Amino acid sequence: MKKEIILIESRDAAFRDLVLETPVGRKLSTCMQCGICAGSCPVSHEMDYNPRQLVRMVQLGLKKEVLNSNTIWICTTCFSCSVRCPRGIRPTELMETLKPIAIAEGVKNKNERFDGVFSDVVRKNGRASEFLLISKYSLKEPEMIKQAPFGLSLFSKGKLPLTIDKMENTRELDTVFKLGEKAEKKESKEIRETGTKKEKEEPETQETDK
Amino acid sequence: MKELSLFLGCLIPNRYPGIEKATKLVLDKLEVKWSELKEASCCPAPGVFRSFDKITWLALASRNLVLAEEKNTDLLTLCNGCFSSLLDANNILKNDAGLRNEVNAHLKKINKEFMGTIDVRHIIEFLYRDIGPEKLGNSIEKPLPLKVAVHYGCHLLKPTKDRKLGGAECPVFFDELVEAAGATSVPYEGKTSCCGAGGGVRSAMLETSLKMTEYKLERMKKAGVDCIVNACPFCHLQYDGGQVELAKTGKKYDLPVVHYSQFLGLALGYTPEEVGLHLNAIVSAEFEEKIALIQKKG
Ligand code: SF4
Ligand code: SF4
Repeated sequence: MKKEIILIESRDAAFRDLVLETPVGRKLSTCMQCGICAGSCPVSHEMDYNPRQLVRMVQLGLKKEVLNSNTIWICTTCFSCSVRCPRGIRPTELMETLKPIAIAEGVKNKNERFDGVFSDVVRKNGRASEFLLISKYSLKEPEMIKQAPFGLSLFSKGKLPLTIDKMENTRELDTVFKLGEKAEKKESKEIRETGTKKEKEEPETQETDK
Repeated sequence: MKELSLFLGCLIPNRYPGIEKATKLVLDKLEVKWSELKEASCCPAPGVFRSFDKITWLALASRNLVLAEEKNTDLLTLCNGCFSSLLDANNILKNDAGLRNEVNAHLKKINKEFMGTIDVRHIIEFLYRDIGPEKLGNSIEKPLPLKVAVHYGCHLLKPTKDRKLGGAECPVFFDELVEAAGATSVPYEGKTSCCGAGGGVRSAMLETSLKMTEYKLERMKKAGVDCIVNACPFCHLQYDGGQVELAKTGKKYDLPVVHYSQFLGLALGYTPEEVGLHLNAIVSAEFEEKIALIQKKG
């Protein structure tokens, strides 16, 4: 890690408390910076900050650095860090917790755009098809067209079905989506307004991987 | 044991229909009672939905679970992603009364209710626990004396506390199933490491995700295996499509990628075409000849 001086002004207590109050956050204060998570992570060398560093940065409330790091988007959710952490912390869930906060704060990233396309496709078709995903996503993310030739070559060899497997009736699904959105909106409004989110207590359990 | 509803998800019907066909052939041959789960939606994809919009994730997953509950069947997945999404949602809803009530208030609008009466299964876990390598070995018709790189995939094993399939460092159950089919599971470095597809990384940062795939392929190749056997269509896509993408940068591996349903299908005497190997991007004539030879002799 680059050696940088952390200025007192860059520490954001509201952000720190917001994260520390989530289920994964409640354990973060027990982190002993052993680095087992970072050593277990198959992509830590691609990250701005490895999982161990990210945990410390959250403790310090370095909001801008945490939310703008590529770490949370590069995590493949493989859970290697989480099954090995001797303190029972799940850095994987920390990444999952930080993503919606980054989005609510307006941090732009490719995953978020892909997520939008993916939920649209599922909402309209019930299931996602690679063909629809690639074609729709390419409109939003021109880089994505790079993946298209692979898909297209399979089409031409007759390996990708031309019919799209989908649900016949997606009305039920649409209702579920609408309800989910309503609840989610309420929640992110809560985060924005009060800086906190009501979370239920999770029983303390220590994860050990034998 | 309850009967099984087959949950196919998105990737299998839309990209690797061979896995679906092979699974159905295999289940029938083993006389397992199963039926399709009609009108199921996307699981929904954990890497996309769970991290961005937790409530929609839970609501959509619970709807799929209720479809299986209504039939009084367990739900059988063929994909580590579907397994993770549905198993986690099932656990959360069974154990957290508050969230269950919240989700049920939503489901009521579509006349459904989550009861918590079924279990979520994965084809590997099901074959291992309910049939077992020994019995499976006895039903093999064409033992496959191949050298195999087994890829468990992350979400079959982890988080271990929720999966209850033992530890994630040196798992053996999948290897035992592969060996029950007559093959040798060859050890290789980084065996339990991620294929690189998950968390939306494949879609958003293809190059980063391919670096991980390359790491795996290098080591599998070095171990001198005939093919990769996996438990998940997304890992399958990452290895199969990934090899095409890596070939563009001059890296050639030519390693056939086989889902365990397909592998078992071959060992039960179905042809490579019947289990859909020709639908892969990487088709190896050498590998298919090997299989043909084994099947002719066996
Ligand atoms: S493994 Fe756990 S305790 Fe060790 S640095 Fe990572 S989060 Fe902290
Ligand atoms: S879950 Fe994410 S942070 Fe943890 S080891 Fe895997 S890729 Fe790294």
